[in-house]
Amino acid sequence: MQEVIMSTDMTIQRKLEILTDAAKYDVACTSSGVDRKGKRGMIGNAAACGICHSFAADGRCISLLKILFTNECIFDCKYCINRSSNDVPRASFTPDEVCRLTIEFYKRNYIEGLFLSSGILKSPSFTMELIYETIRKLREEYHFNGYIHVKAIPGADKDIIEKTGFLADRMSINLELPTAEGLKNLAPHKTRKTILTPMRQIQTGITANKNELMLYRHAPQFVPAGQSTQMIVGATPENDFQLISVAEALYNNYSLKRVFYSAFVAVNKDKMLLDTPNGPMLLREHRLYQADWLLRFYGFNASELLNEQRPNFNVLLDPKADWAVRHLEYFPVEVNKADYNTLLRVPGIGVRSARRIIAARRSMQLGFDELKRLGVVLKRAAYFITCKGKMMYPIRIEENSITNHLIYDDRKKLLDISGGNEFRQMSLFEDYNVNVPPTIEEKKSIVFGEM
Amino acid sequence: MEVMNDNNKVVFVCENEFVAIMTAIYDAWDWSIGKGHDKVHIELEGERNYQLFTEYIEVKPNEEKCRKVVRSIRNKISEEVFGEVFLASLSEKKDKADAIYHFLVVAFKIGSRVLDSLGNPCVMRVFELVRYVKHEAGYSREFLRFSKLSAGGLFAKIKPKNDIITLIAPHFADRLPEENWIIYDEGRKIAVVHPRGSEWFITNDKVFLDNIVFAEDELEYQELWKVFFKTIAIKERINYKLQRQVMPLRYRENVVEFK
Repeated sequence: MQEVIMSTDMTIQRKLEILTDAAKYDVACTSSGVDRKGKRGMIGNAAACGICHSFAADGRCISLLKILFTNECIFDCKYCINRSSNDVPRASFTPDEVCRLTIEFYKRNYIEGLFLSSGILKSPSFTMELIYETIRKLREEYHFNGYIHVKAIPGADKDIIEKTGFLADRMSINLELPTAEGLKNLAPHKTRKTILTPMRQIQTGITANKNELMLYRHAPQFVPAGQSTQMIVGATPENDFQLISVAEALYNNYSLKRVFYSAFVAVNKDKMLLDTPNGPMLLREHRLYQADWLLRFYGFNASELLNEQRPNFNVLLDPKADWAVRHLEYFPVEVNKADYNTLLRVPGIGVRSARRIIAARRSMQLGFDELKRLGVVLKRAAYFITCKGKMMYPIRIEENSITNHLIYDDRKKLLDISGGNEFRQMSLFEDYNVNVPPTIEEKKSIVFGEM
Repeated sequence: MEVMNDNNKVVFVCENEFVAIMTAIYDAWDWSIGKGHDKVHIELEGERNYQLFTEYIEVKPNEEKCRKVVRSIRNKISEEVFGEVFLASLSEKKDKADAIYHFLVVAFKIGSRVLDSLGNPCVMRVFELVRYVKHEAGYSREFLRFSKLSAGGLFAKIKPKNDIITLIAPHFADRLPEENWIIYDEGRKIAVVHPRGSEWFITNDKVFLDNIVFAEDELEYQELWKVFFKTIAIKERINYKLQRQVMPLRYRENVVEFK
């Protein structure tokens, strides 16, 4: 443990700064997926809905103490700030330092728990062992009963991953890039196989554990909040259809709880990486999250949303509205009659408002005023629904005019999400009076300044 | 004169407190028998602007009447409806007592289906009150910050608009069973006290406020947290507008990282 000794003369504050800075590009900060009551003699509990304790200056939620154990790394992934060829200040925590920070922050209600990741020190197994030892200490010696999310290190020994899984609530292995090709180019030390093997191992472990829990109620729990992963968006030329198809496969074949998307931040200059002249592609990331939501909660398939001919989302329009305007044959639907799944496909009606509609219409016929009170966003829904046979305004049900209205209504929101730059570039369209929603190629050429 | 009398309104006036509100509901209900519920209203004390042709009746809080109302709601409607009524009673809104009364008029008529009848304005109003109370309790669970005292206990100040302190206490009691902690509502001047390893209780005794001395390492951990908070933001994504939307300014008052 030479490296650990080397950095002990650094103040804890400086270490925290370095190892937070090195961890911040990982997206997942959720503390959701597991409900656990508090226990006498312990500190902490877990709420299935997850709790955000603060929001950083970039508007992202802070739920967990998200740090690396060390940012020393023998890998040289091109997109990563911590790659071995970078000259950045390096530091390592000791297990006790991580435990103390977690407990003291937790008691003050700053955090829901710990998210521990790490650079690769010496070897994947050696690193995984350090992570294991840290959270073992946190659970057993510091009696911490709150949320723990740890990274499984690709290539680490099976047994260490297994015993770590019995202490953690959630584990994740980052897929990093949607295609094996992209991975090979950008992360020479990682392969599809070293990433998918532990992912499969954890999936199998969770299933086996669920069966065991049915037999023995008090059997120890294995990764009860499930596993998640992350893909980088915009560092390589993969399209949105590839991204959400991979996500869909991960949900279906690996039973993942969440797939996170991370707009690429160009921390390194490298000819293998695409340029992002307007900063990270935040709107594209936003659209992917919305589409991901549609896959998980709205019963959509990836192939309904996109296809080979139309492989990217319209960044100006959310994926559900985009789907709806391309399928006007299904609309308008009568709110007082349509079934739950049909209601869910109406832009402006979400899971909650659809449920409320079903409940409320049992006792009365709903009009537009009632819908508004039930939380339906009429600005969007108006084009797609009737109440008691009537539409809200006389509208021509025609793709281009509805698209224009929806995009116009959304401008301000998009500006807020993108922080300005990305959207301002794209809204050039308005000045040119373009009526047809732009294809992604057209949009790209504008974003990249080739118009 | 006869006709005018029939049109007269009656307003029951009660204190802003659960037993008083339930008592007012009892009295109002009693009065309305044979006369209908439309002309009866309940107002909170101090909210009165006198109207013509209106009779005002002071309500004296009565435990027995309160128990009867609560029991009827629980037995004749449902536990869930009682939950909504209780949450609505914690609201800061001035019209809450009247809203609850007219909500109950519907609820006693149609039973627990009332919770689905959001098309009805009285039901919707209670639904809104409850939603706001729950939201604020949620925010408080997230943004409350404890500081460590020199004696080892934890102390937090909150300033919620709705009376949510009893809603968040069980959460922290479950989470921090082995800590002595106090949560103080600055606006209402009440506190929840949780002695290590035992039940929490509520008090308006403020003796502890004179003895607030922070632990030696308290500032150090606050500084460490601020370092983390500042560093975790990705500067290429800085978006203060988004931050203000998700964490409104008024919730930042007692939050360490925004001081």
